[in-house]
Amino acid sequence: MSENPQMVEDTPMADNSPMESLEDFAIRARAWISANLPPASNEPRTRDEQLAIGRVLQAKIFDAGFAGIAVPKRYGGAGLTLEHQRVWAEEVVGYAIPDYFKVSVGMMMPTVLDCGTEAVKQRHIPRILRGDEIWIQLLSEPSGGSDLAGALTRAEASEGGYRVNGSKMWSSGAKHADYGLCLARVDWDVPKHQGLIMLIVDLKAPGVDIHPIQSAQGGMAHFCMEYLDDVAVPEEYRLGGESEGWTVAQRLLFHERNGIAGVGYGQGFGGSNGGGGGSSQWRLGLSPIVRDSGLSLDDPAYAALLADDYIETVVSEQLEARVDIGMRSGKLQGQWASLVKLDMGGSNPRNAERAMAVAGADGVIWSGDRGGEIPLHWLSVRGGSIAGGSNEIQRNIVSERLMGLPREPNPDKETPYGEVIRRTKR
Amino acid sequence: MRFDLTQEQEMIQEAARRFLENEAPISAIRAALETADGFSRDIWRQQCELGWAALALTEEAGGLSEPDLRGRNLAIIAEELGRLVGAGPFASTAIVLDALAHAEEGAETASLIEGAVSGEAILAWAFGEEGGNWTPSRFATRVRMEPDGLRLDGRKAYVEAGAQADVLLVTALSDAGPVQVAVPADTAGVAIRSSKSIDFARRFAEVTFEDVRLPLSALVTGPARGAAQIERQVQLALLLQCSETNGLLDRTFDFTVEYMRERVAFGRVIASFQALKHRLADLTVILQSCQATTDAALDAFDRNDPDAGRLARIAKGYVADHATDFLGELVQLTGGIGVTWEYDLHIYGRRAALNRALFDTPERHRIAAFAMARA
Repeated sequence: MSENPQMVEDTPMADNSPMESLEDFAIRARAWISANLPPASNEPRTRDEQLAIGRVLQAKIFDAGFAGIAVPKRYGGAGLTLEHQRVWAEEVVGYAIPDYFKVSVGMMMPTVLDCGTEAVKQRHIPRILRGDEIWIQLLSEPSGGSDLAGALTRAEASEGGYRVNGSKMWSSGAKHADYGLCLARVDWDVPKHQGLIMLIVDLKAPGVDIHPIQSAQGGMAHFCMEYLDDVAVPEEYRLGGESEGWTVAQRLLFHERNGIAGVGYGQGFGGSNGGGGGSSQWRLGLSPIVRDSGLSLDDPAYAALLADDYIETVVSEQLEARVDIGMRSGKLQGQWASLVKLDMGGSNPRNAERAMAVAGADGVIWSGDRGGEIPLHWLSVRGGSIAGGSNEIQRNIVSERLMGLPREPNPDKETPYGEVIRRTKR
Repeated sequence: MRFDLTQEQEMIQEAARRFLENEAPISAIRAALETADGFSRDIWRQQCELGWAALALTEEAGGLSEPDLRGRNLAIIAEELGRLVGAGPFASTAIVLDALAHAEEGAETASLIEGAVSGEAILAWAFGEEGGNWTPSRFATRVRMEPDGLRLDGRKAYVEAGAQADVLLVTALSDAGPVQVAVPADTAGVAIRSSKSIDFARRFAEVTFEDVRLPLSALVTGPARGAAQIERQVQLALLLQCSETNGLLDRTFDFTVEYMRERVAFGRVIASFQALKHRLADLTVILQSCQATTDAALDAFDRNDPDAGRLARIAKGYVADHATDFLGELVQLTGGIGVTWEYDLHIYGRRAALNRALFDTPERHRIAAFAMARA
């Protein structure tokens, strides 16, 4: 399993041909992008619309050799580096981007790249890169949200591979997805983190039942619950070794955090995951709300509040830029993306509150067909502070891993997990 | 500190830190409380020998900085001063030197610059007026420009090193717009009254000007350039404040965490309790954000960006507001000894409180920044 994704085995240097410089790549990418990608659109779109448009764009990008820029050529990539990926991300600003594939290409694909068998990589990575296959994560469970390593989904050895039973929750986009990376428990007689296995589950296989979750806003959310009933998984669809499930999961989370921090393989897919400056999914612009409600931006009741929101928005972007520079220069080592996620996890709910403040009564009571966007946004904004590693988990990471403060005492470090479950069963 | 310091900047930083640790540790700052001036002229001269004041000027103007690194170089010193709640007229010297380096033709600045750079001449900036008035267009201090000289009338408040200065740069209104004049402290008509402040080492004064007569060569900043030059100085003042405050926060955070790693309560070190670890994580977000916004504003200042004013006010608006909360949180995390005289936190808190209000409050700067963004 490669430790450093930038050093995957066959870059063009192995072919003895010199790698394209960042400058040359930028020129080539810019020319293609301006000739082939439509400009970014502000039109609100449903997820289904995003998917349809996204498939066309991603296929186009792949066919032109710009998908998987840092992925080796033999897996359908361009065989360049993550620095080139970053250049692509810079060049594509202002153009339509297939955001829908951020998780599949930016998070799942690199995990497969790092941990999959050669056969799986060659078969699936090109399809993921082209958008022909969508891959999702199957990590959280109804019984344990943030406690991913506490997975109760069972994997049992069976003919040719494994049988999987259990339920997973909060998987984004499972409805349209083809494969999921599923964390399951294969050994109940060893301590918690040691008995886990990561399996690639074909979501079209018999026994997979996917239910969209209804959001507090009323409509169907983008995320789903999955029931796995005796689902067969072939041996070669295991990622990493049989008890290396947690190591693979950590790799997946590493890629997820990179995506949130705007680095890694997901660069160029925009901020739909909550990363990227001032992303619109989780943050509202207050000035339009104020104007729409007929207030003046200089209204003394809201002057400080509006200014606060403005400052907070700008400073969050500046923090992200600083972490980016720190990580790229090597001065910051480790999971510093968690700091950015923690910041947004606090500032976005505050922004939602302020939006309600300035919208006033007209925000919550309306005539006509459209209305309620602001309180509806507030009702679900906490999702961003919980998903992808909650604020509390990020605080653990910052304090324990970045600051090196003592970990929580854990009396069960050596206890077989089966015993822990029996003891804490409700 | 920013991540992209040049090697030369790293050397400046290291030399400054070493000097302050050796010559001006916190114990010296405690002792400064009892002194009239708050700082030692001898130490200031030594700091000037290290080049601190010279960093305010380009090499061409007799200083040490490359033209596009002045702000960032000065910020390094300001931050080091913050780490040990330093004394001395560094910020006011840097700001007045900026005015002198961009002076009107005919202004007599050469010996003043030389004196300031060497640390022999103490400079002060008489800018703000009573009632927390930091808005030049509302200043009452006036300069009348006559064919054979200038006449200065008015009153300035919150003048740092006002009672120690040899020369005061006074920002005033003239019939043609805002101007700045250099006034030797012993000029007839100048009355200086020391104020008290919350800070241990920094001293302030009220200065009254009653029909002060000055030669034409005392005009440092004329009306044509007045507004722009004053704005640059305000930006520099805000950025040096923010940098100093960032140094305060960095150091206090470090020693508080160190304390928490050692302090045992309820059977284990208090740094192992999740409730406290989580608060430290939140403080880390603020600390890094303070540095990020100050860095962005310094970059814009050094580039002479049209956005420099807005970004400086955003930085002040963020850093100054959070700093006092931050220090309050550190006191809370420290416990009882955090509110004692003997423990150093209050010395830092006093500096943060001072910087919060000087050159106007973060509350007003936030509103100003937002207005600038919409303009």
